[in-house]
Amino acid sequence: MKTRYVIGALIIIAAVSGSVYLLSQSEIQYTTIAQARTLGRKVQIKGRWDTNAQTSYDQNRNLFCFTLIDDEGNRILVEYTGAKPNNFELAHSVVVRGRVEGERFHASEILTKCPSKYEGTSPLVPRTE
Amino acid sequence: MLAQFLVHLSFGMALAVATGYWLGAVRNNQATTVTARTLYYALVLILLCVAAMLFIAIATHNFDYTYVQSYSSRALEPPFLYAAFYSGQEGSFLLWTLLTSIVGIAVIQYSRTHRIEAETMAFYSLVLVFLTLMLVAKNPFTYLWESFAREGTTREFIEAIKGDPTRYEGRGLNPVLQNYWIMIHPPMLFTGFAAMTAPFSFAMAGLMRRQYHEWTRLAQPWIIAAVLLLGIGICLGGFWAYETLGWGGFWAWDPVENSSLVPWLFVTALLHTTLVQRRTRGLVRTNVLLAIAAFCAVLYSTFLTRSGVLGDTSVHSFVEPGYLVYVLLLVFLLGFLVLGVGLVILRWKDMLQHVVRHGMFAISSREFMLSIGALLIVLSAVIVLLGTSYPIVAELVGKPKAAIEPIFYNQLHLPISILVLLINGISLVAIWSYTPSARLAKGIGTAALVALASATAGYAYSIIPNWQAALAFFGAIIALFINGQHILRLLRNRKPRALGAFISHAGFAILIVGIVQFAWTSTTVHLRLVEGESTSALGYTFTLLGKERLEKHLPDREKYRYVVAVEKGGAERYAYPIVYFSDFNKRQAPFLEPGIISTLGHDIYLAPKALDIEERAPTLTLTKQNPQSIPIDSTASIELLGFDMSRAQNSDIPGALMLGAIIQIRKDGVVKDTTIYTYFDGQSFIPKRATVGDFILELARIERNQKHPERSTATFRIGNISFLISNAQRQVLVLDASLKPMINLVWCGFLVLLSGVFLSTIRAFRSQKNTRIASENSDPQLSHSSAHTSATTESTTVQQMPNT
Repeated sequence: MKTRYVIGALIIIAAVSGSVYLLSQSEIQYTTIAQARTLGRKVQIKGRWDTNAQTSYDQNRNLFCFTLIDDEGNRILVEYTGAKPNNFELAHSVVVRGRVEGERFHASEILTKCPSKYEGTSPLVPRTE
Repeated sequence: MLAQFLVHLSFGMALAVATGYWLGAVRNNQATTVTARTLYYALVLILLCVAAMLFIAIATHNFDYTYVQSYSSRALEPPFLYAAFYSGQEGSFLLWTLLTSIVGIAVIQYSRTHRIEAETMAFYSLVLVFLTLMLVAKNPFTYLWESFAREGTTREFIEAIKGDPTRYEGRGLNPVLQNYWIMIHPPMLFTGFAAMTAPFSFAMAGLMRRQYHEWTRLAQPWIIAAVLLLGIGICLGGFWAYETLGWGGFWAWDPVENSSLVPWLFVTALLHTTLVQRRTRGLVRTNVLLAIAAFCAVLYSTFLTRSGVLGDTSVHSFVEPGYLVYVLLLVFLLGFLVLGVGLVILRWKDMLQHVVRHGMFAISSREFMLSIGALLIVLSAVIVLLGTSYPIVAELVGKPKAAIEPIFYNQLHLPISILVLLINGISLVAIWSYTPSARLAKGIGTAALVALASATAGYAYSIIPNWQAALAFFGAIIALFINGQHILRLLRNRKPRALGAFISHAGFAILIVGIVQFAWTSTTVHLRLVEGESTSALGYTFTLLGKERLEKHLPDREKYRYVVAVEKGGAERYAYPIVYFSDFNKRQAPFLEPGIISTLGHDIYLAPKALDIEERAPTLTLTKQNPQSIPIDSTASIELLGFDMSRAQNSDIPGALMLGAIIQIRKDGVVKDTTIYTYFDGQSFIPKRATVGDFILELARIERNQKHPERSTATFRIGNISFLISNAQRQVLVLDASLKPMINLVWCGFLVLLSGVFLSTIRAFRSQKNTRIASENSDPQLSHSSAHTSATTESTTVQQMPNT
């Protein structure tokens, strides 16, 4: 009689426990450079790229390097397997995903946020010269 | 001014419409309902005017408006100029509102003939009240001097620069959006969102009227239409991402994608559970709750993607639109959730009395299988919802802010999809109420054998990459086989109109096979293609033939089509990856589009990553103390002084030795000493380019002779600036080349699934029309029973089929 509820409940329990387990496995914390160095797992850091330090792209290795400054003002050299993302120069903030290995941050993903797209700074604002 | 006023007026009018319909519903006053209906048409008219005015403002480049200034420019040509209409937040809210109001006209006609207009439209117009309120908050007609008053922009200033086209100019549309997909994808998605309002309104009207069964029949065509429209929108988005954005796939579990998927999953579950209710009179509360969930999922997605709460996690980089919108969206969402759930609680006990289901929902029954299938779909929706909201959830429970990786969705959805496929197969073999085991075994037996044989064979011949994929394949074949049987029977019985459901199930099965194969068998390599040189990879030979300029007449961009020849076994085909520079980002970084060669079995997908120019600069090999003149400039000489191995272990690139050669260059009596470096990774040298005076040098190779150090050589490539500009250069395109097998199965799955839903939509609306004609010729009581008969005939045909 109640078997059908048991089946339903079992499916839900399986899905819930599966989700909880996988959530802990695939979670990426938002953190700072200092914390990322101690955590040693895959994390996400928000910051901006250091315009004073050099960025480089090595075509043979497909390796893009730049220096990231996080909100606490710490710096780290980021290595990303892939080309420089579109709009990188324009990005007012950069989010990197990856882990710290040795002294470098190995990024598997770079997200850029561009003010030109969605934020209001109008070129029609009077110039202040 | 007028436009701004009209936006405010639309809110006032929506408020009046809602009040009218509510009064009409509560007091059962026909006259008020008629007034509300008239006002509703006025509201649609106002919204049409508002939309037309925005179109005109964009077309006439009226940059007084912040919105027009932000998303269009003089250089923007139709049709993209018109797409600017909904490329920003304000415009897309307007499009959503407009489409909802237009769909509402159809809902009025429909609900009117079914004599439930006031109640249905009371809820429907409430949605419009909130949408128009959003428009007031995010007015597309805000003037620049209003938006940027704080920055010091005044009306006088804008008036003054109006004559100067270089200053009175818009920012233009993001080039990423400038392709034909933007013409259809967003309008489709918003039509889907608009259609989602209808089932919700019918469910709420049903609760209000205490007609807990009737609404599922009324809402059915609208539910299927929502599945269709939103489904088309989602698929178009996936195709866009693959075809022009160069994501390499069709689905990235991006929050924006997810937030359109969740409502779709809910409404798809609802489609199946209402079917159960119409047959068994069970799942009464489930259906109302699902209808609320589906609609609130639309609102929640909007909140997630438009309020900026997920700012850090989406590729669709959204920057916060302001606190007001955030609060409004939250109120919007919570308001409808409280309204819906509140009404359910109010009617809870009453609903219980309407649940009739003796002898129903046995484990072997079709209704039970459908319910389990729907449960799985709902779980999928909840999982996607949970994953997408995880950053917020983590913050709320006080954990450090975090996002989750796509693997979360992928791993959970594999077993869910397999189960859904299996249950789909079983549910079609099962009959309502109770299925004898012999019949179940007979119906599934053949399908299971065929599936087992093909999955084993596929796995044995390594067509299927692993056992998980083999399981998915097994489930898909079962579903395909059983749905195929039904399709054949219906065709034989000349009932093509009933095919919809089975076709869409088959499409889903094809889709899952496609996705699984695609995910596990795609291979990608990184290539550096130098013009004229051939590179072998993935079993093909890639040759960069050159590039040609596209869209030369547009001064705001420099767009190139690279031509890559892809050869295998003497057959040569061409791929055209596109790289372009645009004024939009001041030409600082290129925009990239993949080049795709489609064959039946797989796609060759070339996603450009970077550009370079390689010079055919002459090389020069030097030994120590042996100065030589430089080939491109005989007045200058170069001498190798020694080697610098001090940084060999202290390299800029981990794992590669950093080797240096100390050189001296003399020109016109000026002597310059410097060290040029190269990296050696154990196989090849990676030169680091250096500029010395006029010359550009690369250390191409070092050959050390341990026994006779004086015989060690360093080979340089030497050029100069004018040499680089001359035509002695070759284009270099750096790209990711991938082989994407079975991608066509994915598209085919999408297409078959949606064509099935399309057939069902037409059928659902037609059968409603028939019952309507029946009801017009009789009193409403009878119309109810006639609907019953139609439902019964429908199910008997289904029951008969396995016997034929």
